[in-house]
Amino acid sequence: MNTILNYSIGRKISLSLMGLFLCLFLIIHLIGNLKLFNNDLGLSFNQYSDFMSNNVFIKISSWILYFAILYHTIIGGYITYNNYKSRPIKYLIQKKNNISISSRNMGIAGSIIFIFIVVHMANFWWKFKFGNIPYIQYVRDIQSGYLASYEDVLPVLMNKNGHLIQNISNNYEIIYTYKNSYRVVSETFKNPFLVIFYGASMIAMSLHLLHGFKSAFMTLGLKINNLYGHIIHLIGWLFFGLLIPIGFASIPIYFYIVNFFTK
Amino acid sequence: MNINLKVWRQKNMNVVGSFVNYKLSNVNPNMSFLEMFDMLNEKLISQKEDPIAFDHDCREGICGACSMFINGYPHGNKHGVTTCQLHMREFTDNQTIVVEPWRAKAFPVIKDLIVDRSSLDRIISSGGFVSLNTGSARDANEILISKEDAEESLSAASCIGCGACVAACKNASAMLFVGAKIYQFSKLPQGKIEEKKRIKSMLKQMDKENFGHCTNTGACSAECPKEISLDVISSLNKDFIKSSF
Ligand code: HEM
Ligand code: SF4
Ligand code: FES
Repeated sequence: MNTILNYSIGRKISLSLMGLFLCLFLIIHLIGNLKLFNNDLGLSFNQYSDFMSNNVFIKISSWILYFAILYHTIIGGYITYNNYKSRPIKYLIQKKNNISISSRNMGIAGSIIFIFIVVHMANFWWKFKFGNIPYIQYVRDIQSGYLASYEDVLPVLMNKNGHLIQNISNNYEIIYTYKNSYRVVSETFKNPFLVIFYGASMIAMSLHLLHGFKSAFMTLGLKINNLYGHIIHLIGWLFFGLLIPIGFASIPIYFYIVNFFTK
Repeated sequence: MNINLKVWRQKNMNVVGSFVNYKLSNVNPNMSFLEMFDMLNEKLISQKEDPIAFDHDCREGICGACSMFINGYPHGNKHGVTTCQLHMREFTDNQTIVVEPWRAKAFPVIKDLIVDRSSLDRIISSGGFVSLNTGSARDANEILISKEDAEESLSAASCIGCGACVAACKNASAMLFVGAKIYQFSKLPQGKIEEKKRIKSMLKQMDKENFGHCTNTGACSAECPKEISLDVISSLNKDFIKSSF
């Protein structure tokens, strides 16, 4: 392993593997976050958030994820610096012949993403972990399916882990009590600057992945000028360049608009 | 036609160079870019000035010597040609043409537009030998090679080692050159024997010469006068992974 990293190609291979792992994470993270759009007073998102913060498997995965982010950032930073140094005297004029903006700015887009990750962790991860989050209680009428919620309740109807479902029903109602992560998200995105920052960061991510996804496969040996190459190019463009960044960016924008009109 | 030139002048490796402006009139549009430089140099010599040093040899697009970075492109803005095959008719009357040497840490400037590209030679020699039986002529059909493999190998072998790929790359990476030089062998049965060793030692030398990492942007292939495909880089990556296990 150590010897592979002594080669420039080896370093790129490790970078691409971590990058693809991060791409996989993005898909899972987005699918989870889309629960914010469910029309259920935040119940499914709070359940998801509760699951994420208590599952052992998720905990281990998240440490792997932190490692991947740091590794990718450090090696990416090293490679960018090393590449910059490979041409000590720049050209007076250098035209970019058909070379995409995306591929030229991997380091810059990556740095923006890294700043974003730090801000994002401070906004949510830190608050969910250490903040004082209000509890919310859901009541469902079993027969009509009607859901109601009471905010700012005390966490009384919970088991000793502090998070579970209590069935105090007399066959008509089930009560759930959760930390109200949904409200933390909703309130965070009342700040217009943060919404703009999130949107801009997703543009940077789109740029990074428009080239990055396909490039990672090329680093791993995929020829780009054949059918498989074109398919990977298309997936990278459509999903990682377009749909996934739009999916993420739509969350802050949605909450900002909803909060704006329900003031 | 009349042209304005802005050319990099540098006395030797140890001093800092700078751009100098020249005006040249009565340039024949059918001259090659190098012939235009000959004309300029004659003028400089007759004025008792130091002529501009530039690399050239075959002047027919096969040796790769004529390195010039012209108006932002290696070998100028014409697809698939070397500087000696670029003609003045590609430019307009009174145009300003900026001419720079290849820029890379691995290509130090020797004088004016001449750079030291021996780093590429050292990569080649680090590749070592290829096992071939010598002696009397062998039967041509003794080792069968498919048409496709032969074609692919030969098209990679058309690399003339000019270094335009390094010059064009934002990272000054030599991966297209090294990829082509490895691909021409790895497509053929004769090249398989020393393959692992060759890949490792050529890549080690490449890194030692301070070429950058590859970002897969494709600038190299777009500027290569021999239109070497970007796929030789993917192929090199794959062969590197295979040779590591
Ligand atoms: C959501 C997070 C991220 C994902 C999914 C991601 C994904 C990728 C992928 C797939 C590649 C292509 C690897 C290759 O070319 O072989 C890549 C390259 C790169 N990434 Fe990231 N990345 C992320 C975050 C970052 C961050 C935070 C940085 C930090 C500065 C960064 C810096 C780079 C750099 C410098 C490159 C290499 C460019 C080159 O080849 O020269 N990335 N990334
Ligand atoms: S790959 Fe193309 S640009 Fe690079 S050295 Fe060979 S011929 Fe020149
Ligand atoms: S002088 Fe030989 S390729 Fe131009």
